[in-house]
Amino acid sequence: MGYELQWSILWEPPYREWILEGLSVTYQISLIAWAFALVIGILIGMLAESPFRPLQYVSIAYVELFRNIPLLVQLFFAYFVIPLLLPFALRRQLYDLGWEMGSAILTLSLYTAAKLAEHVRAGLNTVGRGIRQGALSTGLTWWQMEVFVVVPLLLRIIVPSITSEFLTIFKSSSLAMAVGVVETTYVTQRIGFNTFRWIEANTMGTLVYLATAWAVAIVMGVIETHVRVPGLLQRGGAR
Amino acid sequence: MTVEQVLSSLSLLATALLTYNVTLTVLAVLIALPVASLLALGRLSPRRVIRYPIAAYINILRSSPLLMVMFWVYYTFPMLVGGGNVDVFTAALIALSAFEAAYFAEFIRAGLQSIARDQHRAALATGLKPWQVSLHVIWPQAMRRMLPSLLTQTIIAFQDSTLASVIGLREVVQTTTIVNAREVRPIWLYSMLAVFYLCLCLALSRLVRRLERKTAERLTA
Amino acid sequence: MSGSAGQTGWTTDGAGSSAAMAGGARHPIIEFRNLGLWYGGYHALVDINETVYPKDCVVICGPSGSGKSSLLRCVNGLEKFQQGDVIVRGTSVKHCRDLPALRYHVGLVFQRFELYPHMTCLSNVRLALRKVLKLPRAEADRRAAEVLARFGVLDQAGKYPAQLSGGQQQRVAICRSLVLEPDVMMFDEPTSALDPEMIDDVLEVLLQLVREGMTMLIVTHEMQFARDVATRIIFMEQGRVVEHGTKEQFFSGTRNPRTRAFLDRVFKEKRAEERSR
Repeated sequence: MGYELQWSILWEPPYREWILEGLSVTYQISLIAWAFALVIGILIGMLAESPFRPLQYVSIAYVELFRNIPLLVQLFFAYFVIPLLLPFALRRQLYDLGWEMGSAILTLSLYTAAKLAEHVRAGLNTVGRGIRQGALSTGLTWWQMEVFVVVPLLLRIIVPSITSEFLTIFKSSSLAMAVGVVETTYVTQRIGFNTFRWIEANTMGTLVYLATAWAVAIVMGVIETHVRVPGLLQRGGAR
Repeated sequence: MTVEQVLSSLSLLATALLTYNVTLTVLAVLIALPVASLLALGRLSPRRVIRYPIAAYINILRSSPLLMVMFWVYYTFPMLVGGGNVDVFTAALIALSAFEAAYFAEFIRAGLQSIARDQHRAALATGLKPWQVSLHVIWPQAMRRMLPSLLTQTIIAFQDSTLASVIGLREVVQTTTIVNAREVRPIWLYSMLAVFYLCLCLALSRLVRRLERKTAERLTA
Repeated sequence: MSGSAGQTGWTTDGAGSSAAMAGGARHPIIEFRNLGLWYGGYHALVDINETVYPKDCVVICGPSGSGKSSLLRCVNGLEKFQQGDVIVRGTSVKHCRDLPALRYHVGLVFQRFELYPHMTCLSNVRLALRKVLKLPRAEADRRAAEVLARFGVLDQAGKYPAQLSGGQQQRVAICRSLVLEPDVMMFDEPTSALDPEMIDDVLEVLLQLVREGMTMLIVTHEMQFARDVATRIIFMEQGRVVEHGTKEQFFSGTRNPRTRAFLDRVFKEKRAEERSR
């Protein structure tokens, strides 16, 4: 084969700095988008189960919109089209401030929020009507029931599904390179192009994602054991 | 913008979609399914020599971004197999197949395991041989259970096929970018692209849901 | 219009309370007036007219799907009925503007207990005391512990519902409603989800409550229990009240063929069950 693996090249500057920068950007995008996605996703998910019809439709529409359009298409739409919808002055500012990363974070947040909303809706279904009726029968208002009984239970139920979305967000952040963000996948390819050490570069990139997945799985596993509701496996839910 | 321009852009996009994205997805799924079945069986094998490497493959593929897998196949593989080039479509196909196989494998495994042990035992008790039990009792039931998730994953694969644009395949997203460079109508073009996928995937997922309901009725009625 | 507002501190709607004031010493606690309920096109409750007086123990029985559970849920406003009204302690449920306040005066115990699985038994009982009655922590803890002790489940206070047996869970569920000192306790098939050994357990509790003078509305299949404990029996079928009357009238004097058939079937099953034990 005549190909000698040379791992040390990854440690030399400037490649070392590139790798660290890529890593940092990947984590930034993923974590910021995750924070937004959690808030938006849980809200939209709860709207789906609210007693108001119009709000339910809003929730369903949101989820269907962001679930059925590929992430890459959403990203390009955000990157190319949104600035055009803004007045000219803001447009330049947007690009100056780094709209590559901004559009990536925006897209990833909204997309993941839609996924999370689905998990929340499923979780609320598991909570079911029985417990709600039990709570209301003791005189709690709807608001009290939601805040003190439903939401705590819901959050505990959806921990496993949320974990997988968290992992997905890290993987999806790789798409940002399509609009020019210097994140891990982009860095791996650049190093490959520059040094022709494709195997080393790609292995390193893959290891980054693997290590992240592994770490997240462990942390979430601990959290899951901690908050697990005893006896709540797969309840039938509403009658 | 004239109607002609609209129609010509639309037809360009639609052609690219059909020629590349749809073909890519269909072929990838056709390849991935049998591979995934083998992987699933391997994952359930009592022999560690088989189980560990397969579990490793599945976990690695599921933890990696599809984009990285595509880069692996397109740029790196040729070097490993001694030079030469792989064309973009083949690279995308191999990458997508390998990637989806890992996901399918997990669904198939879950489906197989969801069939209660007692079904297995009851069938054996009537004198059927193990392979007969698998063929006539376990797999048919498992297939019905996994079908919705497999179909949903196929729709996701259809969306994932757009990633091939990043390695240069002239599929629908890449075509949109090229047309945009020529005609500079980003709002219109990218919106059309979004609407295309929205309608297609919405319709497909509705079909899957209806299928799910029908099989559920048959099993429980 | 101030009659029934005094003791419980409810906001009374003007329309209902004059009816409660009229008449003699016995004011009804619950009145069903022409109650009608539809689920879509399905007529679940058809023209229900019944009255429940204080200290009554009313048992509602009948085949599945006859609307018994829905009837209970109409009383505390969990089920929105379309026709007629339910008057609870002089307040119209239809026009009630403060349903939560009405609800804790009417305890409802569910077939599947519906305890909050993510809270300890003590917290389950304590939640409404804190949030609805707005009691301070110490007082809420004391009352909760007191009622749990009364029904023999104080030692389970720190455990989660899933760690308790069915009978114990049902007792905690009863505590959860009882601690709010309701005027009426309603039970929706309280023993249906229990293993046979625990049924007697819970029936004992119900008996205790009846002896203490609590007004009870019980939906149950346990006809033996009904014979022992009920003052009035209501038999429902397909959303209608087919027969109602005192215990004596019901068990010996009924001439309605459907009721007779139901009773015969239930007692035959019970005898078979007892023989096999």
